[in-house]
Amino acid sequence: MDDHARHRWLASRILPHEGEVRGWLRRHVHSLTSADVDDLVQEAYARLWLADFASIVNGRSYFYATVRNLLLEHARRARIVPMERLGEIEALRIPSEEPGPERQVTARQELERLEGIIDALPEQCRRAFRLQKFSGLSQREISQAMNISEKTVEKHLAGALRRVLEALTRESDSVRNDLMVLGHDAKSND
Amino acid sequence: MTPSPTIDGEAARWAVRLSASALAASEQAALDAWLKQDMRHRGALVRAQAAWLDLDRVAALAPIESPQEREPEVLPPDAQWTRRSLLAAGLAAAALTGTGGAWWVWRQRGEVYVSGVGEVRRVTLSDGSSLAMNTTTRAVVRFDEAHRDVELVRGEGLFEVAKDPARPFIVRVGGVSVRAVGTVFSVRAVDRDVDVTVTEGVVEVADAAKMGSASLQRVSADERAVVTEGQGIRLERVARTDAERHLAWRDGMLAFDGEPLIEAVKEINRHNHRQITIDDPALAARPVVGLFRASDTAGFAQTVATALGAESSSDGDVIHLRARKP
Repeated sequence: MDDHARHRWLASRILPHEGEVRGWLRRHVHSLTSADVDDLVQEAYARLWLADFASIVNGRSYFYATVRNLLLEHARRARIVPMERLGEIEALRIPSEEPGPERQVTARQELERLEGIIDALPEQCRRAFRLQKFSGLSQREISQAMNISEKTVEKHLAGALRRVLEALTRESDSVRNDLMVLGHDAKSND
Repeated sequence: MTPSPTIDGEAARWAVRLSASALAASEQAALDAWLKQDMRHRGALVRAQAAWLDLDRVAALAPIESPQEREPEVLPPDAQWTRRSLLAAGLAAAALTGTGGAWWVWRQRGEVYVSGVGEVRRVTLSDGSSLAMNTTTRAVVRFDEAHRDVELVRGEGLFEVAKDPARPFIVRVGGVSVRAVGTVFSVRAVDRDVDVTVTEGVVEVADAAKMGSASLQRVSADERAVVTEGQGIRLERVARTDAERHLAWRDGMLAFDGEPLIEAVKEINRHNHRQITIDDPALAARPVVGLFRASDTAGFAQTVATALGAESSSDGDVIHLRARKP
């Protein structure tokens, strides 16, 4: 299959809902630690990557359904949640889509959010990132412009991306803080 | 303990690495090993790749002017057209303005528009002109009070230019420039040549690398100029239907009308990661006729194979076309 098309599909249909899905997980499955949520989301992406995405009409529901299935599988194996929670998970409803004004992120807001992330980056990292994404320079051109090695450019860019990935998880921080106290350590590391 | 931040860090590193260039064999082995360790690694990687890709879209939303900077223009806007001189200008600017440098460089370099493999992207420019970008195209747009300049770094664009006699609209590809006032034309910089096809109005094509009379050419509707840099401009007539056919990509389609298979395959490959190879030299020259969805490599291969009495077989990301065994 066409990897690029898959990445684009993930970017446009799945990524925008990640914050919401994480919030939902934390609100409804209280025993999850934030590391559990990270694990579930990563596993969900691994499954979504294999999905026949052309036939998926609603990415958001599919994302929720994938995460819910993973939860059930984990529950059956009693890895994350105690067995008695199985029924609870099965009863979990996927929230219906509400395209309220707060959910409609405008291009302006998206850009502002990105600016916010970029502004918090260390200077070299920020410069490298801007030169690549805003000015369209290749890594080689950036290494020449900044007089640093291409390896270092790569390191800076990866650093910037890591911050962007972190920001994706932070969407509903207040909720997470409320629920952290409820989590107990049922984490397995295998 | 939380292993995930490390996973995301690794994923970010690989995503950036993969976006830059092909992996060396040793790197590929390291990546494969990492992916095999844990299924979450694959998930983290594709998530990071999707996010990295999405940043192009968000960055493209940036306007030319930003309220954050009010630096004076240090360089005359005309003095900076080649990529190298732009880079030099950026360096000078960065040195002058410190932290604000990146913003400055970015503004000097203009707005960058990029289309991915298989993507057709339409953008409306601030003057009301529109630009449709064919697959893997990169254009840098720079407008000010006196200029409308677009640098076509690579790929193909169809320009519908809003009339503004005070600000000529100029598309540049290396040393070749196409100047229009209000017109519709496409510029293609895919092979060595630059093709300029005019659908409406008149444009002037100039080749800076070539001095003398051959370096400036007026091109009218239903004409095409083919410029080989430094070697002058060749003018061809184009039938209207032919011109329309060449612009089928705007609707995600590719139209062929007797082009040799090898040309058609080259064109469809340009739109897809999944590539077709012609294993049989005898097939390469056979003519292809038909309208195909640009993203449907397999469908194209199948149809062509049937039409030419050949067979297609799939091998991972490569589709082979070969003559059918008798």
